[in-house]
Amino acid sequence: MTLKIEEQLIALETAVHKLETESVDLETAMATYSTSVQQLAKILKELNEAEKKLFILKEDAEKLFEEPQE
Amino acid sequence: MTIQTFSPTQINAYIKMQLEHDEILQDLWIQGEITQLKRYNLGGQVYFYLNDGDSQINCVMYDRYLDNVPFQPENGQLVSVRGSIKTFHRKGTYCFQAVFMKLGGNGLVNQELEKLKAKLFQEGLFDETHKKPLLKLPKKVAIITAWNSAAMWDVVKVIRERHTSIQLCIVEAVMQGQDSAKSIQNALKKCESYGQFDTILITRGGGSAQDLSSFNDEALVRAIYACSVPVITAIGHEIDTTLADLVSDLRCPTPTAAAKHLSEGYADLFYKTSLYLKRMNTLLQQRIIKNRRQAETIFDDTGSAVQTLLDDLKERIQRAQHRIDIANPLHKLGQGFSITSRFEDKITLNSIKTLQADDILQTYFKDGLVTSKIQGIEEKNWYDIKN
Repeated sequence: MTLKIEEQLIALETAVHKLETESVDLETAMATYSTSVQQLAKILKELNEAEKKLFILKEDAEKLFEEPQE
Repeated sequence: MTIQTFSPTQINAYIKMQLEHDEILQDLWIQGEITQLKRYNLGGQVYFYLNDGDSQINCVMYDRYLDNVPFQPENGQLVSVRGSIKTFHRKGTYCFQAVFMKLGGNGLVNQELEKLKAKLFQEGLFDETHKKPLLKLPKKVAIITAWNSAAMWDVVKVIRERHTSIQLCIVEAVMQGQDSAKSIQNALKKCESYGQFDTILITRGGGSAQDLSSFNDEALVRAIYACSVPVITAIGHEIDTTLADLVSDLRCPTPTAAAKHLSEGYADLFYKTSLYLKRMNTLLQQRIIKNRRQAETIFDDTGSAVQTLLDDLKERIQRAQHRIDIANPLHKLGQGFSITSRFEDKITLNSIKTLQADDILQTYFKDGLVTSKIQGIEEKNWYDIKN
């Protein structure tokens, strides 16, 4: 999951870099910007999901390591 | 014709008179082997038989005469005994009252036994090479013994106590006396013909040398030798060794010892199995603890690695968010920057190099756009100005 997020983040960083460096007309720049904002929102959402899943996994694993009751 | 009749008292008195007045019978030496010797502590006398192999005579020697005997009388000794015949008219019995005794070599019975032993030894009947191997875990054992005898119950009790899965089958036989040797041979034949016994035990408790004499019978010894099933003997006590013991595949000193031997493999197996189970349990516990520790370590390491990865991602996302905010074209326009393109081809301009006077430009501001004509061009290096 984190790998998927990282891939998306790399794509976002590339888009932002274009936005920062390339000379484009305002419409193109606005479109790139808008797409980047959407991508960011998606990444944040997925990050949130990943953290939730990780928390659940951690809790389950800790239960496995609990000493068995006599 | 008148028939003369006597009372038992009369005839016993007559016999007593005849015997006790006979010169020969009143001072004679008898040679024979001592058997069935019994000591009476109360009176100090000893009772025994003198045996020549075919016949025996009841004897007694009182303590006052025993003091003169230069050795301790024992069963099996060949002795010459001096004494006289005494009768007991009430019981109608007689015995030889001994007054002196001297050793006369091995007893006749013993001599015969030694001869037979030597003969069988020469023939190789006692050779270790002929001993059949015994099963460590016998399954079906025939016990040749007297029914309900102490020896039978000793064996049954010990084997049952040890919780073995041995199936016992009591094959009844006469274990002493004239018919004993033949009876045991028949029992052996029965066991063999049944075909399912893996071991045969011939056993009986202790007794006098004469009681055990059937176990020195040549035919019985040969039958044991020829038996296709391994034979264990446990005859009498530890000190008694018969020819049957010598020829058998294993001689145990007592019935209890034989039972212990039969069940030993099971006891050993039980002990080893419980030992292995304990060891396996310990190893399993150790393995579980080790694996648990490894799993905990892996879990902790993985957790840390994932957390680091997440923290790194979060930081990069924050940086990307900040860069997006800055890169917002409207943000730049709000700061006073504008975007200029040539009206003719709409190409966004970032240099004056391609421009010339009278070119028409379009300039975007945060709130609109302006179309203008170039009136003059002046090249500048803003870095120089800044510096």
